[in-house]
Amino acid sequence: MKWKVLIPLLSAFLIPAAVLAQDEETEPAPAESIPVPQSLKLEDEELDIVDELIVPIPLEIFNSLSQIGVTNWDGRTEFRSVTLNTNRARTALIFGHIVSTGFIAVQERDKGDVRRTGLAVMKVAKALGVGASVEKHATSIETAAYSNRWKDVRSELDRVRQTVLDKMEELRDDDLSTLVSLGGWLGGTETLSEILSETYSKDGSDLLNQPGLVRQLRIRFENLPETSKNGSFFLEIEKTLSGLEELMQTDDAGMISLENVKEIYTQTTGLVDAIYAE
Amino acid sequence: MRNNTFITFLFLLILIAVRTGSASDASTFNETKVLAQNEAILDLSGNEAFVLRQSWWRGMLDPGKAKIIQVQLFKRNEYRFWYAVPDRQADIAIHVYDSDGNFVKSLKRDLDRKNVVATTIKPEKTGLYFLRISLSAEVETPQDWAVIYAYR
Repeated sequence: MKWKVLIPLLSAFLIPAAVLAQDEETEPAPAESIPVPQSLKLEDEELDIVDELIVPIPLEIFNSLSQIGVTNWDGRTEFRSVTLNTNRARTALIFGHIVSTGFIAVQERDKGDVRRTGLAVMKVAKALGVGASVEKHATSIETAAYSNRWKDVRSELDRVRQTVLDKMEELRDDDLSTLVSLGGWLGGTETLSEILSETYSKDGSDLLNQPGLVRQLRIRFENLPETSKNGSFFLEIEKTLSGLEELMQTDDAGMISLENVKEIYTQTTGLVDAIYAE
Repeated sequence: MRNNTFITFLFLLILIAVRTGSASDASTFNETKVLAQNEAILDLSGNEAFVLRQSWWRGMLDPGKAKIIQVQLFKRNEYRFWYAVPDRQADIAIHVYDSDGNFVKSLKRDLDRKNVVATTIKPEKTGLYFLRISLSAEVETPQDWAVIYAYR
């Protein structure tokens, strides 16, 4: 009975909104009230580029991958044992990596692995001094997973990641925030390159076409103060990022060779191992 | 001597309280971001819902100026970006360029308010893209802007 009343009411609000929200293809037409350049001169120093770089989450990439038939995620979640030390830079990298592991567990729909992610996230967040901000999200992740609300688990994981980045910004720990993003990106790339090594296709290899993003990550990493690069693996990060930038260039056919995909996997997994082993 | 220690202790306590206060006050709540989110909300449910990313961009933009945002996009996904400023009369625009700086056609979404615009792109190639957000010169004051995005 309630629905009989609610549906027309909802329609009355939603349909006009849908009608209003129409799509129209944009071209850099001179008729626009704001001039729109036909192209951007990227080398122009006067170009006002926003510094904030948003790193894609693994689910964003997996969404594309599933459209070319890669849908089996069983056993992809890999937990490394974590022994934390006083090196906060390393802890930040590990935090980013653990969240990316959580995204893979979501793709796999493995409640146990999601729970393990929640616990690991809390442990590492506490070590970073942001445990209180993360606690409610960690609880929500577990609750949502046990109710099979995977959409909510996904949102909460992205939220937990963003909460930590925001906290670091508030605490003026911008260097750590760069490392959280880098750790997350490494985790996603490690899994993507592993999957592509096993299910190689030209279309799939295109997903690793990320040299521009790697370059931005590398620049941010190089600009970190030396005090934030505490640990022997930091030398390896610089070297690996430079190597990945080369390996992720597509060839004339717009693809990345199987050989390069495998090398990307070897380099990313080696670096992640080195970070955890420190 | 003991008095000095007590004063130092009090000072430290106040410092910690102020620091904690500013941390909790500086939450991620942002009115301009909410404007963008309100326009996005209908696209985030249903069978072909977009998935909203929690990360977003923000800043200040002077009248008649533009800013460039870098974002990695993946082939086969569809992305929608919402750009908002507070001034309801502000004329604003968002356009997409590829990794070489070439203009890329995107679908402009007409919304019922002038100070929020949205555009949709289904990239033909995976790679780094550039969003150009601009503000018309007729606006009187610099605007606090926000850009959010979602994928499906």
